[in-house]
Amino acid sequence: MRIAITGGKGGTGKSTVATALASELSKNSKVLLIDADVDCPDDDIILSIKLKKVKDVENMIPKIDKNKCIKCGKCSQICQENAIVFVKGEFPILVAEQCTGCRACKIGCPVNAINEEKQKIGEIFIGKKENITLISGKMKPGIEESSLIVNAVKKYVKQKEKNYDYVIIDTAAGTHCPVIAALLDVDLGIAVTEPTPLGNHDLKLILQLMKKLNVKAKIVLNRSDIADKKIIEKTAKKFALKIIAEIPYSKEIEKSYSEGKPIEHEAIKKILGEIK
Amino acid sequence: MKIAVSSTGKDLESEVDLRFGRCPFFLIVEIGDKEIKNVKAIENTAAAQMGGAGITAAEMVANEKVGAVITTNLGPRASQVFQQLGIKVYQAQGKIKEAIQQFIDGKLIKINEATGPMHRDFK
Repeated sequence: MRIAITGGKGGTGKSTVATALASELSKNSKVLLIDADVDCPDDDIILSIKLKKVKDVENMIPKIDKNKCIKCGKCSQICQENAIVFVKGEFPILVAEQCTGCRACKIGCPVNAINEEKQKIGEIFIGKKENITLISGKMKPGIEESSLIVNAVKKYVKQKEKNYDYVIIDTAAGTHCPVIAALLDVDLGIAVTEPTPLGNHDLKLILQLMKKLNVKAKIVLNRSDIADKKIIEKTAKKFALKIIAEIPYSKEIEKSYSEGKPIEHEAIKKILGEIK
Repeated sequence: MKIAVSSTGKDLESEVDLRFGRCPFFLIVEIGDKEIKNVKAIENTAAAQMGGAGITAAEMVANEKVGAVITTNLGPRASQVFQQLGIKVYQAQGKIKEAIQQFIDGKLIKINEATGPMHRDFK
């Protein structure tokens, strides 16, 4: 079973829930935890897992064959990422960090002057602790499109997934490309939120996104007692969804979080009961 | 030789704009025999772009066939474009008229790398 932990707003406790869930599940089953928050992956810190690099993530960038190029500028016009600069009379110039490797320039070049080259855009790491295998994607700082790394991580784990009972994907915050990439093909998406206007606003967005992607959604309310939870209950009702667990704002939980340990709470067991 | 200056306005009395990619105008100044021969202002249509303004602005001034650029701050993408095109970038502040004179006198310092990160706001 593949479960994504997401939520929209940042800092609601996605990694806290993902690592706690992985720890709890690992007591009786084999768990593959994927840290798909590739801009700043940190599940390894919470789980005290030492990571080892297994792979570089590369993508295609165009290399212009100056013997064939007729300096027409078509590649620059076609590029949607503004990665190719064209100055009349000069060979096109590539700004590699902007390139997403879509190959449109290559397809559009009228004289086949574009060859492929590779650039490193990130890395994949692996680490183990008892029944948990953690795979983390890390984006190279400065690269524009982080969903490329999320997709590379998902491709990397594809062959390994069958060896595990559960696959948990910890997504980035937000509702943009890297989150969409992480949410595709999951059996369940758990939206972790908090009872604040910001948490509620972003929860609505992520629930709309999951609806669009046909991902079954459930809600976990973190820091459930810091404010009136009615706003979240209202949203849950509107989307005909259940708040499957509530994690209170407790000193104990904050302590394990600040010490870099997965939290233990009955609410986590409650989540398990809902997904099994 | 033609040079492009990031400008707050349309003439030589304007100031050198602190930003390269998101300045409102570029002054294209033609210099010959150590004197200003011609001045043309072009609107920086890339200024309002969501991202990659520096890239588009660099493309725009390069298409004016300039040999050098005068600005105060340059982002990493625009810097890459100028490096690849062999266009030299010089740093200046204050009135453009004076900056041009300093350029003619060889007193401006060349910038070889970006002066700061992308999307920097100087307001």
